[in-house]
Amino acid sequence: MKLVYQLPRNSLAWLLVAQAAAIAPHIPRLPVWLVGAWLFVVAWRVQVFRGVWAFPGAPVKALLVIVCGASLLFGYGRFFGLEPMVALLLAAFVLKLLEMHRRRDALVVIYLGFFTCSTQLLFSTTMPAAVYALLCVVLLTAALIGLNQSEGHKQPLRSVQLAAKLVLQCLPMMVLLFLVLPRLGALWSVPMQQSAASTGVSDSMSPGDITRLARSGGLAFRVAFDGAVPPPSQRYWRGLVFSRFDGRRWSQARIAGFRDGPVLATPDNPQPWQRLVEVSGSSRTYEVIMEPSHQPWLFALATPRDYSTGISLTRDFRLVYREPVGKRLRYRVTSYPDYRLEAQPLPDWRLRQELQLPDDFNPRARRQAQEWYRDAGSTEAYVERLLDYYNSDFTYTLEPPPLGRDSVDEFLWGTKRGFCEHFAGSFVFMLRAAGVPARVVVGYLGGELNPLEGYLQVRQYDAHAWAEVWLRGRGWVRVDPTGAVAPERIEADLRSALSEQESQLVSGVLALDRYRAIAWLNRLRLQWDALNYRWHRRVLGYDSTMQAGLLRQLLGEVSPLRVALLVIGVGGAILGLIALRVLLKGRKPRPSPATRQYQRFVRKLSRAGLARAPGEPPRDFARRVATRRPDLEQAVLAITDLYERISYAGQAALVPELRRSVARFTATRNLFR
Amino acid sequence: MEILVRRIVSEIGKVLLGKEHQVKLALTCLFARGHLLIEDLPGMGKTTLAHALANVLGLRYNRIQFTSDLLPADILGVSVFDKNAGQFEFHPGPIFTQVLLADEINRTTPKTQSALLEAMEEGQVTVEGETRALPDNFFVIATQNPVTQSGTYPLPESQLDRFLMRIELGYPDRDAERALFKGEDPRQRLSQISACVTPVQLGELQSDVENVQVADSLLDYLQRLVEYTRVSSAFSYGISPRGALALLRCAKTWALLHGRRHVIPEDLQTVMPSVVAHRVRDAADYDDQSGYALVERALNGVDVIGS
Repeated sequence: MKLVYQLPRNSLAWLLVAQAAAIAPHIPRLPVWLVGAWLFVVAWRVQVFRGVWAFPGAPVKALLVIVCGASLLFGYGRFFGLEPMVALLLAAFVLKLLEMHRRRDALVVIYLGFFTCSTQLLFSTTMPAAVYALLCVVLLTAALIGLNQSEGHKQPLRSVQLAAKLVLQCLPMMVLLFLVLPRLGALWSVPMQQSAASTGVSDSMSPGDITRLARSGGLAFRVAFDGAVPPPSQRYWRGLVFSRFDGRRWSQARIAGFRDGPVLATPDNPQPWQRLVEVSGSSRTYEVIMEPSHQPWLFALATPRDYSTGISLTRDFRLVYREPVGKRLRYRVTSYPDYRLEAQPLPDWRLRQELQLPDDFNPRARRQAQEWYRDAGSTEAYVERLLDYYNSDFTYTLEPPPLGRDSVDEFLWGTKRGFCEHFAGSFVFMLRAAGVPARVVVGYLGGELNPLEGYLQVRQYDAHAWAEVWLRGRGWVRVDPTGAVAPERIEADLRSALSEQESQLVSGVLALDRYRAIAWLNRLRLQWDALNYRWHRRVLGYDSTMQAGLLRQLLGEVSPLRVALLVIGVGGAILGLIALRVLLKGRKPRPSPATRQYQRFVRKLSRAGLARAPGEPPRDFARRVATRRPDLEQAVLAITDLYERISYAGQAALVPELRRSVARFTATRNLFR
Repeated sequence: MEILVRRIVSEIGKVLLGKEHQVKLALTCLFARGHLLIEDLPGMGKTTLAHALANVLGLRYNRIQFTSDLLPADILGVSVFDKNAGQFEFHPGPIFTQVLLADEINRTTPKTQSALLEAMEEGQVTVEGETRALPDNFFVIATQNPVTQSGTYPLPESQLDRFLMRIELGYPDRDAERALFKGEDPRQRLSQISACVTPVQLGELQSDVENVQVADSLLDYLQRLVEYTRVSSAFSYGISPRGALALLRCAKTWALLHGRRHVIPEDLQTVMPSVVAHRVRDAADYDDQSGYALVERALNGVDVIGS
């Protein structure tokens, strides 16, 4: 059998631990068999280390590679994509364990580990993920240190301590480079995760959709206002506008249905229909940090005017992003709460769009609508009539009974229990049936104010549906039928609008915000969220604009020379401090005052050609000097005696005398010898 | 104190001419309550020195000539059945004394050598399951021939470590030897040596050693020396904490013998070869002949003052 290079035990142990740490965050995304293969390979490698099994031969290795590659290809159905590629990397990372014949191979595994560690940030960039990645780096560094330690090193914790110390020493430099290095745009585009389910409001609404959403506690987005935060009743975050109804499902109008130009308008490419909105009064500017929803639509208050690049305005005056929001997105919007939208009489094709109803659904609602409209006399009175009807004996509930084919009929005159989508849907149906243009708007309502940082936190259970009614001379006006049933939903939040029993259904049992009655827990929750918010804004949101601002603040005027000087200055200071610490630690203690004087005396004699050997004690030295230079005998013996008494007999009071004697002492070279 | 020491030295000088330094070292060892090992070629006066020391300290002594057929019972004693009394009676061996002269200790087998272990370390003897205390002031003064001589069983390290000091006598110088030739037989003169110290004085002397002052700077030097023997690659193993303590105790005693109440580096340097040489070993040494050279190396290599 060939002589096998054995990795140091310490290094192998840390390597396996670090590998486990680097793979752990990927496990939920990985196929189960790959995790199994990993455990199998680890067991094999440990057996090899114990000398029980041998390394696999070339055919076995080839087989493993082929099986893994083929399984990945079949499992994912494709190779190009983020998950298959990461899975491939992990498979290589795992299989390489069986090929660690030499130190070089172990180094390859460790470097692969660093790479794997960075891939986990492609999936999650939250603060805990970053801290965890740093921990992985420490473990990998420990493995690297272990690889360079002697075979017999038996203190594994020392390696980690050293690694942690090294990483800690790197941190200031890391921060400096993070702040100063040019923020490049994506040089290559990483294919986005494709398997991730889209979250938040979807592109259609049927009874029960938003009810389901209300039961999840996930974060939808955070908003920071430049000025004061508007009251809850004005926080209507428009996301989608539904103009088509097929009897059960509300969805967006067909793109081809709009006839006055393209549906999307961008600042570079304005459209004529943008003139249809008139704004007046003051504006609100705010910044939204949106969690990935994997849907393109964004959320804004009515009606948005100025917005960040990459965002377009649609024909129904809401915002969409150029692609599905696959990672956290930050955008700024300026909205005007006072607006008139499409106030001019609607053209025929628009009327057809906004009055569309499926033919043979909900016969009773159609009849009743026409009857009530006639009785009311005007559109405004008819709207009032409808809201009064809702107010009479409807219940706002998270557990509405299921509805059959004629959903509006059954809801309005049968169950009378529903969530916002039932109210909004039936309300718009009744308006359209009476010949009033109306549409359903879906988005979020409200949001919780975080008092620590002064931003709003909008969660999935804030999802809401309401209606817009077109009134002659006023254009589209927001009407929220839910307000007629449960005004608390609009003035406060969802929980206060529901019965105590039902409010338990909002978000999961483990969600922290269920326990907001416990003061300290609530404070902790808010602090944690504020910390995350800061992380997103200051760290993840640190782009070239913020960088330029920071550099201008630090340097006055940003020029390459100044930036270079900053890097050299601050970096040099950081490295200098670390170096100074290392130097100071290794320094010998300062000798005592008496010893310093004696050393001075020895130097004087040495210049006169009488050097002291290191192992020569003072008295012997003095005697030697005395025999060679009788002229110095008296002074040398006196000084030696003083030094001896101070140093070895504890008579410290003699130090000044010694100093004087040494200062007085002169030894010239004896030229006559 | 110095007068007392001078008297003792001159008294011993009557039988052992021109060996003042070795005599002082031997006294240091005994005042520091340690056992003494005298190593030299046959006929150099080892036994004479041992005898003279016992005489001058006024202590009761026994002498055992170690031979290859000596057994532990010959040293410790045996129980003999007494017919009249009808029971076993213990007959104490020569070890029950104050000064034990163990002549040519390395000529006996390791089995017999180890009979001394407990006595030297604990001051007691266990025979047939019964522990018997030895008198106060129990000293072993052993002599041995160099290991290179034929018919020797080298003492193991553990046994060597029991001896506080190992000294060598060396040839006498010309004048001393001439005086030896002219004078009467040293064995005759041995009987003329009178005790200079009473047991009470000896006890005071021994406890006075504890009062000698040791400054931090001296401890620094001691630690530098010890560290050197442990770190330097020339040493197979360095000085143990017990060895370092022994060195310090001997340096204190040496300082006391010279009328000083504090230890100076010279004291340490003077006693170090005798105290340490048999406790260290060269990395490439197999017959324990390198100790003195190693100590010399340490003394030259370590700065006395500190850097």
